[in-house]
Amino acid sequence: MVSLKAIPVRHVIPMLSILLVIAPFAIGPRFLDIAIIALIFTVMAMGLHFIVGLCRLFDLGLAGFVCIGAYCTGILMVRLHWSYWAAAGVAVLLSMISGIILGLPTLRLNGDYFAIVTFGFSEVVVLIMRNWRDLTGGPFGLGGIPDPAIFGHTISRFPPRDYYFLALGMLTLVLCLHLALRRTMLGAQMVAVGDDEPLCTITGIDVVYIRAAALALTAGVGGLAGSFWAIYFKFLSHADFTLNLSVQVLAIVILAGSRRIESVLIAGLALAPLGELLRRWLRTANIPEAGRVILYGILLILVIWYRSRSIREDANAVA
Amino acid sequence: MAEQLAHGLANGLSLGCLIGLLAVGYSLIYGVARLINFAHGDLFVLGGYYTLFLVRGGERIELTSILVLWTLTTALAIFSTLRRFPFAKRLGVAIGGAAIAALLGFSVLGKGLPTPLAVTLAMLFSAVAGVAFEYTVYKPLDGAPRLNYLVAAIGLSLALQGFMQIFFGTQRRSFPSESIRVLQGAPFWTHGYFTSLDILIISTTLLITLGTALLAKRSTIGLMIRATADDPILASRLGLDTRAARAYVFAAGTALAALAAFLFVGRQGVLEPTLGYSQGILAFSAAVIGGIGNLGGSLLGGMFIGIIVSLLPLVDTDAILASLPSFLQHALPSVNLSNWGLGVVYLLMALTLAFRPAGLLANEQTREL
Repeated sequence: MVSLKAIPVRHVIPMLSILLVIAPFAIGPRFLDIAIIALIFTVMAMGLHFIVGLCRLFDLGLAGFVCIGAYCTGILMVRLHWSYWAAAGVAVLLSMISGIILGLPTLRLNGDYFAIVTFGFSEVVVLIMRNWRDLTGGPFGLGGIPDPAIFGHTISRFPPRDYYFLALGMLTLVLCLHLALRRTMLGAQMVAVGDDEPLCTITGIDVVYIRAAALALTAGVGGLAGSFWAIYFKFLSHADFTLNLSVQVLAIVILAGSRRIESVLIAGLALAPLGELLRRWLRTANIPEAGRVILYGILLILVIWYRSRSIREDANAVA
Repeated sequence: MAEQLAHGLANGLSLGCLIGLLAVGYSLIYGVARLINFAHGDLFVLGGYYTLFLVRGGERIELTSILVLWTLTTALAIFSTLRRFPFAKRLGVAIGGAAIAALLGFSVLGKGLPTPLAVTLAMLFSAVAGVAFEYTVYKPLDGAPRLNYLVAAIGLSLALQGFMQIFFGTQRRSFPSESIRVLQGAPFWTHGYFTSLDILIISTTLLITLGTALLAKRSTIGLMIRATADDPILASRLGLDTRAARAYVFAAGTALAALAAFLFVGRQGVLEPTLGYSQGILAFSAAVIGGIGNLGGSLLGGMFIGIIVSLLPLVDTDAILASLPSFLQHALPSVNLSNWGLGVVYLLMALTLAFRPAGLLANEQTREL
């Protein structure tokens, strides 16, 4: 992001917001779809930023939270005919609770053990969704998720402009959460725990509590993104929430490479559409799924090489 | 019931030895390089493919791509291990080595070698691949936080998996039956609930693990490896070649994975590119439960997991459900525990990490993390 360094950080959010509000009127429905997917990924990246960016704990289990949020919303809307808003609220709460339950025994762990445990958690969530046939449709997936209604007006799926603004609203909400957190003691403590955990323990900061708060926020935002995922894609399959999803989001956070939320925002909005365009291009070019996997793997290695070189110069760097 | 239990135990012990063999590789690499080699499972599958194409011909594209991979990894491994020599000399030797490797590969691949020779060669090929990946993927990260290694390992795992899917196809493969007759025949070996294959697996695993542990304890290389594992900075200040120690453990771990792959495919009869994912995770969990960095512990952890996974289907969930109070009976879904093997293993691993982070068999050599 060399050329972007000329722009003062405080101008980033106003500029991006103008761009994002104008964008849906300027682009066609096909690109609108890509834009919405980019927004979902950016929201997930901003959620992951709480635990990875601020606390510097690697979480490989974001897909698990998104999966819980998506299935919770889907099940409540399809089987119990709840409204979207209530279902989304319950989804966020449920993911946060699962995040806390996951966190309490594991947040004492450091580094790669935490990464592996969170990865195991997300695999178990997927296993539950696959095996609990009566509730989740099991291997056949869960379909027929209805459009949400807002003040009696049902949001239209084609063209998905309403959905775009709904996703933008979600993004704004998460961004505000980040900006507010930055001003609080809790936010400062999260950064401190990420910087020097032993020092924090000595000065009396409850490291596990701070990390649990960050993980709960990550889980909540993941659940929120999942609930939007459910109403936007209309069909849920356990196979969508694999390690691949977590790694893609993690790659955005790593490449953003800084603790500032603005950089995650830029990285998400820049990278997620590229990833989606790449996926579509590979599909139309008839390159098998495996080609994409190879490409992702190599890109991931290149990204981490790049970050590892710059880490020694930048104290605010992530990973 | 007792009959089933005994069968399950025997089955689990032999499956557990395979998981344990992989876990020992994980442990070796983690102990020295301090990195979770997420790609270990995929190197295991690669070892399986090497063996498959050595004992039996494959299609042209498969043989060509595995030959290219073999040549390329040989060149890389030679080039990066000779780092004390000037660049031109290294390049020359690497190209020469690659040419010899290509010739060797060309003359053995797809010719239907006898099984023991094929397995030995596959272990060699895999060891070279392990060393090459250590130098190309992990070495540029030197000095970066440990987690960066994990991300790079996930990248390597994805790339390898994709590579195998494209070039070897996604269909399930198995060894031709005549090449594993050694394993299945010899009925006089069969004893009680163990088939001859099980006995071979268990004895090979025990011997190999014992051999590795002895090498680590007694040999000079083992001493160097243990010194590096204990304190890499001090070891390098004392003039030990810590880079070489890492290369040795990568070579040994990956060779063990190739052996495990041969035994695994011989036993289960299934080889597919995505196999490494679940097996790698099982093995990693085994290493964590037994105490990562501790070879015997990892092997025991593997056996433990193997037995748990094979005994799970025997648990009669309906009977347990029927014994519960009636309001619970309606609330709980009827589950088939055989679908939940991985879940139970994760749970065990999480519990181990929460209560005994250094593993069940922690000793002073196992590191608290």
